[in-house]
This record gives sequence, structure tokens and C-alpha cells, in this order.
Amino acid sequence: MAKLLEVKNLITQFKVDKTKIISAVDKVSFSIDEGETLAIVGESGSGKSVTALSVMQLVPNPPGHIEGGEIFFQGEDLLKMSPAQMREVRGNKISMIFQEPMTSLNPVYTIGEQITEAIRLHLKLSKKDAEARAVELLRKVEIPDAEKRLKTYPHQLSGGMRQRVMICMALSCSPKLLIADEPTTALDVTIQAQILDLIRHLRESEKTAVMFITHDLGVVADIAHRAVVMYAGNIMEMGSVHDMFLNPLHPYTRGLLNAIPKLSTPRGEKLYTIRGIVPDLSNLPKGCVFSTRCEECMEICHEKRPPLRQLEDGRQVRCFKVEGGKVIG
Amino acid sequence: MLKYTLKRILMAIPVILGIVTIVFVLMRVFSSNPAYLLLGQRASAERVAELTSYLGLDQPIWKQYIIYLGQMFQGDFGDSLFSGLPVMQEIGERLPATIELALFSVLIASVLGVSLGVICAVKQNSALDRICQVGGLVGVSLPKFWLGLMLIILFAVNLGWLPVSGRFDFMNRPETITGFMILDSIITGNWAALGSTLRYMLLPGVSIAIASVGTIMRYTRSTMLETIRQDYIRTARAKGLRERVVIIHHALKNALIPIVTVIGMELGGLFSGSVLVETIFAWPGVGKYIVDGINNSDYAVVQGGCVLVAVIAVGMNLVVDLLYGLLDPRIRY
Repeated sequence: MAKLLEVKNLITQFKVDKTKIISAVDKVSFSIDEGETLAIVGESGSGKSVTALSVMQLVPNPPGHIEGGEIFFQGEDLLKMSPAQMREVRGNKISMIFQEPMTSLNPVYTIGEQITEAIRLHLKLSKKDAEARAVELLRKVEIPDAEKRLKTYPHQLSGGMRQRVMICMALSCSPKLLIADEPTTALDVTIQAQILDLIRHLRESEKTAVMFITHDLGVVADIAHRAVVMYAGNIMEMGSVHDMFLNPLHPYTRGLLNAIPKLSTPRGEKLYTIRGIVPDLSNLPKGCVFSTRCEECMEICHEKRPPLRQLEDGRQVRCFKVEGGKVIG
Repeated sequence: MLKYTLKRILMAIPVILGIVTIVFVLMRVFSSNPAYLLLGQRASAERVAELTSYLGLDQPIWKQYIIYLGQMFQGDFGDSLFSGLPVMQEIGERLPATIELALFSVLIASVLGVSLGVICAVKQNSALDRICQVGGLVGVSLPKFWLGLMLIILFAVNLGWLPVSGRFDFMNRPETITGFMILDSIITGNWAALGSTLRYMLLPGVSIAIASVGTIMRYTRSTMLETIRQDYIRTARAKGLRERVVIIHHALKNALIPIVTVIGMELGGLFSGSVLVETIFAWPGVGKYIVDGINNSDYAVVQGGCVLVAVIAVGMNLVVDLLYGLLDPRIRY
């Protein structure tokens, strides 16, 4: 299948103070095929949201900026585009939904005004046609009374409804790629399931590729074809969701999987956690970035940073303990 | 909305009554007997006593107060001791001049303050931003009367570009219809008069506006900085909107709510605070009228003027609160 998005050696840095610069995303490479769903997984601060914002070139600058790399979208490097060209891509070919549905909609404009804005801009429709399309889209995201809803303000809607409106806005120009940055995190579990269903359903009907950012591995298993595990701005493991869940290679991936509470866990038993916390990005260990928390850490892990290696089955992993697709030792 | 407005107007009554009481008492306690001023230094004690009694000033203060309140509720604010004309008529003649100048200054201040504030917020920490911050501070700190005098020296005396003082030039005066000279010039189509009116208004307008520009600019900047960091601004950018649209359409409309409060407060202050500027520029407005009243112990003038200023301040507050409802859909009355 043709590659829709290809990120190569992306480095995104933030200036912390006058002398200190940290790399929130450090030489990250991955690709998304047309119609594919790629999950990016990691703890807070692992660089997954910054990766997404870098693709959209919405990294707040200052303090952040894209230091290097290439982001090919349909064969063109987004980083070489002019601001005007990039605006043509944003909201049109690539659109994004955010984590916070409560604050991501502008409180002083109606839902209708906010949805039709992008439609009128990119599809050059008249106000009336744009409104008709907005109604159609609101129905698609299963919002009842779509015509009436156009005239409501964000504060009159619940969190789940607002996220539906966000999805509706993101899909308004039939994008090729939808970037969903933790779209279900702020919602309660039943609404989460509804939103995931909706994204899955729309992905199939609209043939949209999805970059799905989450820290919830349950969601990954539910929705994604492939997954990228990120830690401290680095990719630790990448492969199909099936392989990763069945045979996780990196100790970090295994840790994340073990940390999911199971129904079979005996009552009273402590839940598993990965010890320690995500390291300070301005003070990363010399060797493997995960070495300070790894339970299987070896001598070499403290000395040298392991490269991201491609395995025979196409998986990629950054660990000295993995040899020929198997964990050694 | 109507119910809310009525409620607010009813709530304003005790505020205004309070102001009337304070002004009434202060005038009688602290200013000299106007009979002396009217009769001059050589008047005999009998004549003074006679006039004092004629003016009703020999009555106990509470009695005078009740009489004044009784007349006030009938719409009679008394006559000026010196001109003999009803105070309300005199204020009515001067009010358009004050309102026109206040609106003109607030217009200058808002346009300059809001646009500079937005630019500073967008270009935070740039050289322009720093210059505006320092400039704003200087603007707020400069005494208005001093600034007025400096502007007169520079633009009227040395450069001769603008008139020194006054409100109009006798050769170019529009026919009085509303009393607002800009409006009258436009209604009568007298463009020469419009030009001349604006020339007269520029220096006093700017002297009053400068301090407000500083306040409005600094406030706009900080509110905009806060608004630009909101999630919905990121959403707007993610739609592919032009930065100009994002800033003006999405950010400024949200930031306007607190900005309108400040502009409203500034306008309220301009009505009452332009006294010195009106005096310097010989602007025939209410501020100057009240100051003259205080100097002459003209009780009715001061009381009537203060009631008017209070009504305007309360009214401005109400207008600002009602404007919120228009700007922010979350606020409904």
C-alpha cells in the first residue's frame, strides 16, 4: 500500500531557558499507509503529542521548534512548505482532534459557525451549502437534532457531544489523515467506547488514515493496526498490534502491558507498576534512555544507547536484549 | 434583559441618593456662605443675614436637605446663584461638549490601545513590545494637565498646526441641532465645520486619551496573551485559518470581554475626570462648570453636576454589563 505519511528523523526541540534545550522528539521515523491506523503509545512526556503537533506544524513557537528531519505527506515534504501551503494542508488534508473537548471549541461562536468555517475555507462552499454539509456531518457523528445544534454554543453541550463536534469539524473536508491526540482521555468510559466506535466507523466509511495517540493500551488493541511505543522522545518499539501484544520485545512495552489491570488478578494483590518516573529530558541517562527504570538492565545499557533495529518480520526495537526477534537472557 | 435592566436601575437609586447626601453635606460644611460672595466684601452684616435667610441657608441643614430632596424628585435641581438659570438647563447646554470630548478620547484610546495591545501580544518580547510597554507606563504616569500644556506649546504655539483652545471657530460653526458639533456638522453637511471641529477637539482629546491608551493597551496585551494560549486557538490554527483570522476572529472576540470592562471604566472616568483638561483648553463642558461652581460656592450647580456624574458612572456600568451579554453567549440576563 502507498505511504501516506512518512516521518524521517524528526527532531523537535524546546528551549527551557537561555542555555538549556531539550529534545522532546529525538530522531523519530515512522510511516502511515493510506487507510491505516497507527497508534502512538507512551507515558506523559514521551513526546507523542509533540510528534503529532510537529506533523501539523503547530508546535508552540517559542519555546518549541522543529530542529530537523523530513515529514513527507503524499510525497511532499511538509517542512519545506510555505505557511500558505501548509494552511492548505491543515484542516483539509490532515486534520486533528484534541484531548480536551471542553476547551477546544471557541466559547463565543456557535457550533455551526465553527464547523462551517473550515468547510467554507477549504471547499469554497457558500454559507448555505456549508451549513447543509455541517448538518449532514453532525448526523454522521450521531448528534441528534442536527439543524438545531448548529445554533447552540459549546457550553450548552456535554463533553461527549463536544468531542463529537470536534470529530465532525475534523472530518468536514474529508481529510486523508486524521490525527487524534488522546481523544477519549477526558471522557468517561461509556462515552469513550462510543467515540472509539465512531472513529472506527468513520475510518472505514471515509477511508481515512488515523494517527491515534494514547496512553491506553486497551484502546490500542481496540482500534489500531500498528503501534509505535515512545519513551523520552525515542521510539522503543514499533510493529503490528497483534505481534506487540502477543510477543512484546522491549522491556518497556512488556512493562506497559503488565501494568494493565486484569480481571484475573487475585483480590488484594498489588497492581504492577514500572518503577521510577520518566527521566528529565534535559538530563537523560548516557546509555539507554530507559536504563534507569528497566528491570532487565545490563552493563552495556548504561554505557551505550541501543540503536533502533529492524527485525526480519518488519518489527523495530531499541534494545540490546533482543536478538533475531527473540528476547535473550 | 428588560427585567435585569430595570432591576439595575432600581439598585442605582440608593447609590445616587448616597452621593447626593454626601455632596450636600460637604458643600454646606466646608464651603463659605455664598451670600458673602454674592454681595462682595463690603456688604453689611444685615444685608448678608437678609440674603442668607432669602436663600434659605439659615435653616437647619436637615430641613434644607429635605427641601432639596423634595424639589429634586420633582425634577428641580435649583437655580445657579450667579446666572440665575436652572442648573439642569445649564448642564444640558454643556453636556454635549463633555460627552463629545469623552467619546472622542475614548475612541482614540480604544482604537490605539486595543490594536497596540494585540500587536504587542502577538509579538511578545519583541522590540516593539518593549517600546510599547515603556510608552504605556509613561502615558499612564503623565499628568493630563501637564501633557495638555505641552501639546499646546508644541502644536498650537510653536508649530501653529492646531488651535490653542476653545471648542469651535466662529467662522466655521455648524447650526446647533443636537449640540454635538460633529453630529451637527454631518447632519447639515457642513464639511468645513466638521474639519474645524475635529481640529479643535484633537489636542484636548489626545491629552485625555494618552493615559487611557496605556491602560487599555496593557490590559489588552495581557488578556490576549492569555487567550492565545487557549486550546480553541490551537483548534482554529489546526483548521488552516490564516493567523490574522485566528487572532482577530477567534482570540480577540474572547479577549474583548475584560477589555470592554476597562474601556467602560475609562469612559466613566473621562466624564468626571476631564475637569482639568476642560479648564486648560477652555472647553465649555460640565467639568469646568462644576469647578466654577465649587469656586463660587454655588451649591445647586455642584449638587446637580455631581448627581449627573453619578448617573453617568452608574449608567456606564450598566451598559458594560449589558454588553457582556452580547459578547459572551454564556452570559444571559
